[in-house]
Order: sequence, then structure tokens, then C-alpha cells
Amino acid sequence: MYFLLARLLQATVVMLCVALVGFLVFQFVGDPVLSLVGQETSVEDREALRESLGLNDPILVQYARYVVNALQGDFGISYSFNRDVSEMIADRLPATIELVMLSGVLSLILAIPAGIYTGIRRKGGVAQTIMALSVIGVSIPSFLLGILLILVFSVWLNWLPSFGRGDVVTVLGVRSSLFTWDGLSHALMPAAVLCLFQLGVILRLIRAEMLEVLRTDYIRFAWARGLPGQRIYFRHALKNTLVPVVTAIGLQLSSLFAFSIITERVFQWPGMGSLLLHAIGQSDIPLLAAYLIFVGLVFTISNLVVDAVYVLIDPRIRHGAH
Amino acid sequence: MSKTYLASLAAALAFSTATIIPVQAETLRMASQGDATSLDPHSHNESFTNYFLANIYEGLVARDKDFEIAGQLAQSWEQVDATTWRFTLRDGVTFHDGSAFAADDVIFSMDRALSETSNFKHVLASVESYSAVDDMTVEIVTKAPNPILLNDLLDLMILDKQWAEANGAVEPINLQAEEKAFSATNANGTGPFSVVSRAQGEKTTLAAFDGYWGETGNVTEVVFTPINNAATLVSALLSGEVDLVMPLPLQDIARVENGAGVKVVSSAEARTMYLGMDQWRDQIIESPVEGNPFLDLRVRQAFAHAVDAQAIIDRVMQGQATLATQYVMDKVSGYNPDLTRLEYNVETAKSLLAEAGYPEGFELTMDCSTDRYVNDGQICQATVSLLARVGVKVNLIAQPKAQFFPKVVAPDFGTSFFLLSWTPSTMDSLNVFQNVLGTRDLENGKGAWNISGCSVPEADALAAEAAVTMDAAAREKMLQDAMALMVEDVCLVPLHVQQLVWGAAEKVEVVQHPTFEFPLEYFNVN
Repeated sequence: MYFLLARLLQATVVMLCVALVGFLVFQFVGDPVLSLVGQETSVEDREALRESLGLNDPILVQYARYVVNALQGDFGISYSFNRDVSEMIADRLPATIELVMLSGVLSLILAIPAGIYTGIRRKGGVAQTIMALSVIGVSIPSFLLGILLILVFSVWLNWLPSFGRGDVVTVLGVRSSLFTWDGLSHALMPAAVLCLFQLGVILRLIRAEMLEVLRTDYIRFAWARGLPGQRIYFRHALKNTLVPVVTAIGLQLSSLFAFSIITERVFQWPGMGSLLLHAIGQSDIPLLAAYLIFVGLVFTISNLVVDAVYVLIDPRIRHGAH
Repeated sequence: MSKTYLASLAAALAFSTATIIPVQAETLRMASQGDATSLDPHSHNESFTNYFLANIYEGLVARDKDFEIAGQLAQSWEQVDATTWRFTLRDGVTFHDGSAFAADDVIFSMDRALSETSNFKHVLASVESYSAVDDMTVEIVTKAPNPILLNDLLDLMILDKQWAEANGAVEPINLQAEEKAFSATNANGTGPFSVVSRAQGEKTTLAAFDGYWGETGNVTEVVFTPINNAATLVSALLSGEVDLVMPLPLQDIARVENGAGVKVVSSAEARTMYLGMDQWRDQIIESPVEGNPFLDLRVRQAFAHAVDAQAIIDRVMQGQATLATQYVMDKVSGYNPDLTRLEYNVETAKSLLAEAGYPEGFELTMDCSTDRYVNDGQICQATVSLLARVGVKVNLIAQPKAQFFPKVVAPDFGTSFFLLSWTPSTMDSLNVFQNVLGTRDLENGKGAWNISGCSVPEADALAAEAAVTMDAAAREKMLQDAMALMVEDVCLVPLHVQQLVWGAAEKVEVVQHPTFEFPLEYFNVN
């Protein structure tokens, strides 16, 4: 309980700091007033609007006003959408969650077996090929991969749609596009692009950890006792590789939330990332501030979850806590 | 018994198929890099938003298929005297929600356009008063004779009074207001299309309004999706997922021309690109040079001779532009057909610079946006290398529009050399004199975009006279003469008139206007 409270406090401080840094940076994102009015608007009218939006106040005053409102749950109205910012985020968040979940699941399904396999048969031809491919996965820029996929699967083969999110339906109270074929076909390419980088990282990490663990004494004893290979690899070895792997997955997932920007842009995925790009282009300060706070929140929560999972998978941490 | 049953079943089937088949639903799927910023027709004066909404809302007058001004919600009009106009409204027009259109809607919309939070006050700047004479007649009195009142009224969209009052939308969106901006996400116009669903930045669906008073093409549904990334936009067209993309990025013209089932549609746009030079400071900024070289006409002429606008059109614009001789294009009234551009000549430029006291050239800074106009960043890079040939060393600041505009516009005008462009929304060059070319007089709302700070009093006088001259021919002559004076003074260096380039599926028939308008009622899907 105490642990949770401490973490919540920590999260609040992180978000306040993120917002402060945000407000210091907003001075340089451009003048929101110019993206709100037309070319024929008079100089006085522009000045009046700037004054009424409070943009003439010192940056710290603007920040303080924002924090006071935010603490009351009011994140302001987006300049460019004329809608409540919290409503905008609630609208766009499901699309990003969907994409992150799909790519996360895809990368785990592929990375864990591939990591174990390459850890065990590290000299084999298949393992070498997987390792080579993983280097490509880590190093190819996501916008390039995205455009290549669109060219091949949408323009040449005409198999998959090149942009947007598919039909959304509600199943068991969850609204998602992943329950329809149309939705899945839209999500497949962006999820594949997002998954590739993580796949490479997680696979390499699992492989390295496996190599490490397989050299330890207790594994040799296990072999000496004549335990079956499967039991040694999956039960004794894999379990002990998981602590660093879970940390990496946690961080990866949260950075996916924050940085699915490029992928969302390439595939016109209506999620948080494309919202951020729009907000930057329009100097939409309320939207930018809320986005930054949200990203701070995602990182703190995922760290919290990772810590909790440690306790579950490694009894030593649990006992060490006392 | 069973026979009659079968017969009646067959009849029922025949009847149902007969009623279904003739209604051929034609869907037009459009995509663009941006989206309308609001559905409120008085809240943001931005060309894409205005033209998007012109399919949903209507004004008293509008451009017809041939780009002539024609009555829309006004059936006809007459001038009672030099300053009084009387508009007879169209009978039998209804809004999308079924309520009838009448004079109080026009009066309400004019009040609304003039309210504090409106971004369309300029539309009625010349108007002294307006009133409803009866249910179907509206009278507008101008402060002085206004020959282009109809042009001004093109951008004034009419809303339903009852609808706006019932939904708390009496005033355009106020960002300060706590209540939700209903009119930003909902619309109720008289136009050929009504809004079925709206998710800004994601997807907007329009349906043909079956109670529409006018003729329309065969498009019954429009699905509009913004696609920000240029490569994705073109792929969506090539893969047949959208039928129309606008604008088409220039680098992809060849791909679309060679693609199967798709075509490139282009025509001249009313946007003229130009280079501006500081003519109001005693000392130009961000430059080591002493004083302001641009105050000398010969330096401005040298710049015009040095910048090879044709090369920029051929290389940077891939031929999708025409040479500009002046600061408006030929479809804008007041265009002067006798004017020519100073020819590209490095030697002339060099000798003019030498005469002005800069035989070795000089060094200065240029401001340029990279995401506002077609290939703007590359136009500036080309300008930099062309000027280097005459010894002028240009340090280019290429920046996103979010940084560029706050720097260069009023009140700071923080640049001494820049690339900019202008589209006169009224298609009349008076608009250019009032905003861009006329001597700066910010208190009276003039010259807010005269970033160069150039000033030719004779041209100002001609433009002021043209503003109140009702005789069309005399007025045209005044504007042409004023334009000639500005060009002679090299207020700006004209570059080119941009082309409007769209990519479309072969089956789509579109109408392009020199403005960015896309009047969907004239579009067809074959």
C-alpha cells in the first residue's frame, strides 16, 4: 500500500515536471494565434485573441494556471479542434492502444521462441539467418519500412488497405477494430512495422540471457541428472532470463505508446501519435501539454507494472523486500 | 391459392428491385493532406476550410461552374442607388434539418459574421447597415459605393437562425467559452451536401441533400479522409482506395500519369509566388551590410534580373507553374496584360549592382517556409544559388510555417528578404492592394501583409479611387495602372503562378477553379 502511494506521488511529480519542460519549450513552437485566424484578420483582432487566450502572460503564469486547472480535471480546449482535450485523447487513445497491443503480442509470440532457439542452436544456419534479419529489423527506419509495405501489399498486390483504421465493433464491452476482418487488415501493416524493432531487441536480449544462463552450474547439474532438454530449457533456463527481459518489454511497450508517431503518420492511423503531429503543426498548446503529461503517465505506470511483475517471477525480490 | 401467393410474391420482388435499382449510389472518396479546421463557417477564414464548407453551407452569391458570380441563396439583386443593394431571396429553399430559409436567417448570419469571435468581419467591412425589407428581401447599404460587394459576399455563409439559437451557436466558436462548440462539429446549411458523420483529422462523410434546390452531379456520398503523409496519399490513389487526391505532390505526377486507371488534372491557381525585399528599414536586419541596399531601385531591379524564374518553374516546379509578370494572375480583375517581367540576365544584374555601389554584391539573410506552399523550401534554395551568381551571398533560414509566419508578419515584420505568396480571395486585385501592395497603415487595417514595406503613393491613390468606382471599365483601368506602377517600382520580385494539381481516378469528372474550390455538386463519378 505504502509502495503504491509512494509511486503515485512519484508519478505526479514526474508529470508536473514534464509539463513544466513542455511549457518552457512551447515558446518556440510558434504562434498559435496565426494558425487560428485567416489572412484578412486585422492586427488588433489578432492581438485581442492572443490576450484573451492568456498567451501574453509570462510562461510560468501560464504554467501555473494550467496546473491549477489540470488538477481540477480541466485540460483545456484544443485550439485547433475546439473540443475538450481530455475528450480528444479519450477518442484517439483506443486506436493507439490497439496498435501497441497487437504489435506487442506479435513481437512476443515471435521473439520468445526465436530467442530461445537462437540461444540454444547458436551456430545453426537458421539461427544465423534469424540473427541477420533481426539486425535489419532494428536498423531499418520505420517510415521507410512502412512505405515499402504499402508499395508491395497495397499498390502492387492490392491485398491490404494502405491507410486508416477499419470498422470498429463492440465485443464484450470493448470497442475495437481488431474484432473485424476489415479492422485487422487495416491494422496488420502498421502493427508489423511497430513490432519489427521490438522484435529485434527482445529476441537479442533473450538470446544473450539464454547463453548466459545455459553456462551456469545449475543447468549443468540438470543435464547431469538426465532431465529432458525441454524441461531444462523452458522451465529452468527461460525463467531465469526473464527479469531483464520483462524490464525491456515494459520500456519498449511504453515507448511504443509514446513514439508510434511515425508509424501512425505513415499509415494515417487515427491515434495519439498523429494527434501529436497535428498539434505541433498547429502550435496547439493545450493539446501538446496534455499529450506530454499523458506520456509521462504511461511511463510511470509501465514502470510500476514492471516492478510488480518482478515480484511475481522472482521470489528473491519478494523476500529481499522484507 | 398458392399461385396467387407466388404471383404476389413475384410482384413484391419486382416492385422492390424496381425501387432499389434506379437509385445508383455513387460514392466519391477524397483525400487531402489537411482537414477542415472547423465546421463553423464563421470561425476560421482558411481557404481549405472555406471551400470544404461551401459544399454544406451557401452564400447569397457563389461562383458557378464557369467561375462567374451567380445568385445562390439570392435569386436576383438590384442596385437601388450607388450604395443600396436589394437582394431577392430564392423561394422554396430549406436547410438540411427541413426548416425553411428566409430573410431573418440572412440577417442573423450577417450579425454572426460581425460578432466578436467571428473571423469573417472583413467580409462586411464596407457595409453600413442591412435589414430585412420583407420575408424574402434583404437590403444592404454600403458606407461608400462598393463595386465588389458581390465578391465580398462570396465568403459569407448563411446559417439557420432557429438551429443556431436552439444549439447555443449564436456566436462563432469562442475558445474561452466553457460550453462545447456545437457548430464546430455539427452543421445545418442549405448546400448540396449534408454532414453524416464527422471525426476531425480522421474521416468525414457527406450525403447528397435530397431537398436541395439546385441541379447536382451524380455523387450521392462523399467520404473525405485527410492523409498527412504524401507517399501514403499517392499510394491510396494508385491502389484504388481513394478516387481523388488534392493536391497531388509534384514529385508524384509521373507516377500517376503512368498509373492505370488514374489521371492528373491541373489548371492555373490564383496564387502568385513572389520574393519580398525590405524597403522600410534604414538598416536591413540579419546582414553585415551597412544601411539598406533595397532602398535603391537598381538593387531591386538587379534581384529581378538575377532570379531565373523560368528555371525555377522548369526544375523545382517540374513545369507545373507559369511565369508571373505581376502580382496577380490573369483571371484576377485588374490584371495588366501589357506588363512583362524583367528578363533573366546575370550581366545586367551585376552592372546594376555595381552602379548602386555593390560591385562585389553583399550578404543578407532570407526567410522561407518549408511546409506552406508547393516546394517552397526548394524555391528558396534555387533563389540562393541564382543570387550567388551575381555575388549576393544569401544565408537561408528555411523553417516550418509555425516558426516562419510569427517571425515575418505584423507587428514585427522580422525579415529583410523572404518568399511569400498571395491569393486574392475576392479574385479582384483591390484585395492585393489593400493587403500586400498598399502603403502600410495598420490602424486602418491596410497593408498588414506588406512585409516589404514598399510604398507607391500614386498607386495607393488609384486603388483608393478604384475602391469606390462603380463603372467597371474605368475601375479596371485604374487597377491596371496601379499594378503597372507597382511593377515598375519592383515592390516585389514576381516568380510564378502555381498550378492546381490533383490526382483522380479515371472515372471521376471534376471542376477546378483558380481558387482551391472543389464544388462537389459539379463532380461526377462515371
